[in-house]
Amino acid sequence: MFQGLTLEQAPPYTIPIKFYLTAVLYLIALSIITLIYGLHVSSRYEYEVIALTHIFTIGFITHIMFGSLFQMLPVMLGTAYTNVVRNARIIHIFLNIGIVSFVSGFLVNSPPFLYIGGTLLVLVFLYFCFLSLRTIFLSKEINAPVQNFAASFTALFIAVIFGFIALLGHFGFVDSIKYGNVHIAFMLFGWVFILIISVSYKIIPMFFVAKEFPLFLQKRLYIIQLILLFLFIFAQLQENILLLNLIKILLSCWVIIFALFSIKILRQRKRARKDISINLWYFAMTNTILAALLFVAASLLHVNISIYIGFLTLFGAIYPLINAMLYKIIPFLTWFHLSSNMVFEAEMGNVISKQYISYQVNLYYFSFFLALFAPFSYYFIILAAIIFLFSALLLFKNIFHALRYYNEYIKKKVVFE
Amino acid sequence: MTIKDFMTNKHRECDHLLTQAEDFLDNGEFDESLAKYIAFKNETILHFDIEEEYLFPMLEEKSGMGSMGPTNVMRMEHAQAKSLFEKMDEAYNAKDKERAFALGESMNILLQQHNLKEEQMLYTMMNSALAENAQEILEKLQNYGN
Repeated sequence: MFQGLTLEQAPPYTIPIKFYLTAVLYLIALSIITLIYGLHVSSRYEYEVIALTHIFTIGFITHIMFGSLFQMLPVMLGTAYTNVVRNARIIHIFLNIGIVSFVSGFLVNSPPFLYIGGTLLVLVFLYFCFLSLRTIFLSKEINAPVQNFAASFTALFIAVIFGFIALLGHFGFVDSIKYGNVHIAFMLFGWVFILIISVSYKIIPMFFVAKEFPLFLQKRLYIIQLILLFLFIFAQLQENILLLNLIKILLSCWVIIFALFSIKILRQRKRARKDISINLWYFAMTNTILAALLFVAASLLHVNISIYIGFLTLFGAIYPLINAMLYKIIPFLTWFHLSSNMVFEAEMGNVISKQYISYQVNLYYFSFFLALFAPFSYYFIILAAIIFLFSALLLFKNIFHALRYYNEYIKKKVVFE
Repeated sequence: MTIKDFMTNKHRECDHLLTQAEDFLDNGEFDESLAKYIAFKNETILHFDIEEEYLFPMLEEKSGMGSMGPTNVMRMEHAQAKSLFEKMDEAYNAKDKERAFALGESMNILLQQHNLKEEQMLYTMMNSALAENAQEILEKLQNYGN
């Protein structure tokens, strides 16, 4: 049975926007907390680094992903989330309590905060996994997109479990590093990477009028990554370094292959005009390749540069990709919801000012390049954090402007008695 | 060739016309751009007419889905696209490059997600529900609007 995007199926406009605005609040917090706690960090195992990383990954990335999935999963798969308004509200509230408690736990070294936050986050993530997997399997046709989405949620499920075990390790119950490594591998190579490829297969051809990704990637890449990740668990827990390195290299190679295909497909797009989103996409893919190469090199040469690889992956690859998608999705979503309500005066080009988009993105690029010089002096971190704070404030302003635009125009909706 | 193949090819032809119009616009070749835009608009509206006047009623009758099912969603999106054409006419005639690109972006995303739903679901249903008269339907589609 066909289930296209109808107004009844699509969640209210305010759901994704609420998640996006909250996500950006965490970017603002990240900049400020970096200035307070992040100036002298040197290892990924320091509590300050773990806190900052989770402000970015759970605070920012997760809010964006959850908000987008509530909106996009029904469009892409033709099935709707059940009780979407109530479930989105529950998830939003408990996710935020969980993040604040969890991050505070690391920053002030408080075990009760860590346990309460960690437990809440595990419950929220598992609940979202359950809701999404149910939505995915309601899809009548179990095709490649459905399988890709299901794979990414499977990876998230495992990543969350290992994350919680790693948290127990902070109090001496298990080896935190081993389980933490599995958590990170499943989060980055599993949940985030497979979700990004699942969305890219649909979005790149759609937004840029480009070719489809090769069928081999669409149908097989998620299987390969999942198999490698399961082998990763075995190798990590058995401490089989040779196998572990081989798996890391293979995981990275597939990430590089995907990134190269993305660049190739984008370069051959039919809609040739360059825009800010395309440049962000190229930037993200270039950093993805660099991060993957560094990861391979670090594994082979046994050098500890994980903090730099993490920075490049999170701030150089994932962040610009999300930034690019937001500026494609939000204006369209705003216009689409308005015109679906028979409000035809609105125009996508007026939803967010192009000039402010440009300022925001340029400030991000500037802060990224300043942060690269951090190893030479912590003054660069201070500068980068301050500039990124302005970029985040502008991003908040831009998304808030979209919400105001929507609220202004939706008043013009004609209600037929 | 099937109904799905024919209609999918028409989607690609329309995509191509819009990208050509935008390429000319980007280079400041306004007359060529306007000509391609008009061709895009005419082809797209003809495509909507084929669906709304000919294919959708046949599918609704054969499948028993009625006119309030998925075809209704498609009709609503056609109306959204038509409202955009009015604005694009203004922008192309006024040679307002930025507005034309912004409206083209809305049109592109709207049509791409719309086409995806038609190609994945509706045309597949047509191939199976209208299989008996497929040849006759294809001949009519090829001459539609002439």
